[in-house]
Amino acid sequence: MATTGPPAPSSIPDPRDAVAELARLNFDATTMDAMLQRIADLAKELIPGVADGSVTLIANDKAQTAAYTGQLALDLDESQYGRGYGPCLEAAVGEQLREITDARDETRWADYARIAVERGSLSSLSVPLPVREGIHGGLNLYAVEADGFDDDARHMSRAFASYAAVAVHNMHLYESTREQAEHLDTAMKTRAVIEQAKGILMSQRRCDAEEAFALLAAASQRSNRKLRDIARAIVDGVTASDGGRK
Amino acid sequence: MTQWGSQDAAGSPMTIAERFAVAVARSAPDLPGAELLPERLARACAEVLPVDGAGISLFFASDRRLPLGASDGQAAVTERLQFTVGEGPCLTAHASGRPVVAQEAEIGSRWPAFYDELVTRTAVREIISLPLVDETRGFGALDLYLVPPNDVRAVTLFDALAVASEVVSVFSRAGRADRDREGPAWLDAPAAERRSLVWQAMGFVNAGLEISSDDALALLRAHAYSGGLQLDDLAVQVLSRQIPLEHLGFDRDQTS
Repeated sequence: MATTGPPAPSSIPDPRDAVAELARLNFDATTMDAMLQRIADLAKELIPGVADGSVTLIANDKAQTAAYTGQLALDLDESQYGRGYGPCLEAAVGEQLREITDARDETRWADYARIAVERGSLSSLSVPLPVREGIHGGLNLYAVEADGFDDDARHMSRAFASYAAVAVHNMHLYESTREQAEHLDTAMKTRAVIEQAKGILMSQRRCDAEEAFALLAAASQRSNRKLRDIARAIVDGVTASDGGRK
Repeated sequence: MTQWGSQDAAGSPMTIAERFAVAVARSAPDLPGAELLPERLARACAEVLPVDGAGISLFFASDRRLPLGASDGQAAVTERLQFTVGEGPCLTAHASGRPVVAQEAEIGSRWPAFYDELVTRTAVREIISLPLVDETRGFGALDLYLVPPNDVRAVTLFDALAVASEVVSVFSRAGRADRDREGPAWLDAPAAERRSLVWQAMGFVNAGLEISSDDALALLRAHAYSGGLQLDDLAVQVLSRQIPLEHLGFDRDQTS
C-alpha cells in the first residue's frame, strides 16, 4: 500500500463539501467552461495529493483538455492525445479508473510514462466523468511523488467525479435550454422586424405586402445580405431619423 | 368526452399531466399541422381544467405579445382585447413571473380599460393567468378564462400549474426538433400570422408619420381603443388604407 504517500490529512475532506461548492455555482451566471474550471480547481483543492488536475472531454473521437489547474496537467494530457493512448483516454472512454502508481515502473503506457517522469509526475489518477451520451469525460489528477494517492483519495475522487458529472450534465441541459430560448427570441424578433420593414416599404412605395416582400428579397439578393439584416436596416433607418423625437 | 381517458388501462386515476397528454394526442387528427400545435395545447388545457377557455401567448421585446393558440373564438378575442388595451392579468403575470388569479371585481379595479372591453365583448368574467417559465426565463403565459357560473375557486392552482408546466415541456421538445429552421414550426400559428399584421402596420405608421416604433404602437393602440376596434383589425384597415394615416395623427393631437 501507499507507505511513501503524502501524510494523511488531519481531517479527511468530504466530497459533500465539493458538491456544496458545485451547487453554489449559479447556472445563470456561469458557463460550461467556468464550471469545468471550477471542477478542476476543486479537485486539486479537495483531493489529497493532487499537484495539478484537469478535465478531458472527448467528442467525435477528438480529445481536448477543457480545464486545467496548471501546465503539468495540460502537458501530460496533451502528450496522451498526441499518442492516441494513455490512462486519461482509457479512463474517459472506458469509463474505468486508471492509475499510475509509479511512472518509473509503468509498462502499460511506457512511452507516455517516460514523459510523465521527465515532467515530474510519478503518479496519476484518471477518473471517468460520464457527462452525457456522445461525450466522454475524464478527471485527471497528477501527483509529484510515486504512490501519490491513497485509498481515501481514490474513494474521494470517484465520489467527486460522480457529483461533478451531474453538475456538468445539468449545466449542459441549462445551456441547451438557454440556446433554444435565444433561438426562439431571435426568430420572433426577426419575423416582426421583417413585417415592420414590409409596412415601411408599403407606406413609402405605396405597394402591397407581397410587393414589399419582393423588394426586400431583391435587395437581399442584390447586396448578398440576409433579408433580415436588410429589414433591420430599413426599420433602424426610419425610426432613427426621428431618433430624439418623442 | 371528459369521461374518456380519465382512467388508465389498469383502472387507476390518471394524473392531470397524463390527462393533458391524452387530450393533446387525441386532437392530432383534427389539427395535424405543426403550426397548429399551440391550438391543440390550448384546447387540451381547456379540456382537462374546469375552465371555459384557454389561450397561449409568448412575449418578446418589451410589450410585443404573440398569440399562438386559443381553445375557441372567445378565448382568442379575450387575448386580442388585452393586447389592444395593453393591460390585463396575462401581461401582469408575465411581468411579475407569478400566477394571477383574478375575479371579476379585481379585473375591474386593476385593469379598468380591459375590464370594460371584456364585459362588452365577451362572457368571460374571471381569469387565471400563469407564466410559462423554463429553466432560463419566463417566455409567455397561459390564460384560463371562466364564464359564470364557473369561477376561479373551482380551479386547483396546483393542477393549473402542472398543466402550464406540461405546455412548457411540449414546446421545449417541439422546439428542439426545429433547431435549424428559422424558429420552431409552431411560430407559424395562424394567430401569430394574424398578429404579424400589427407589426406591419407599425412600420406603415413609422414611415407615414415619421414616428418611433413605440409611438407607432401606442398610437395604433389608442386609436383602436377609442374606436372600439381590436388592434389586429385596425392593423388590417390601416394597411389597406381604409383608415388614412392623417386620421390616426389627428387622434394623437387630440388626445395628447
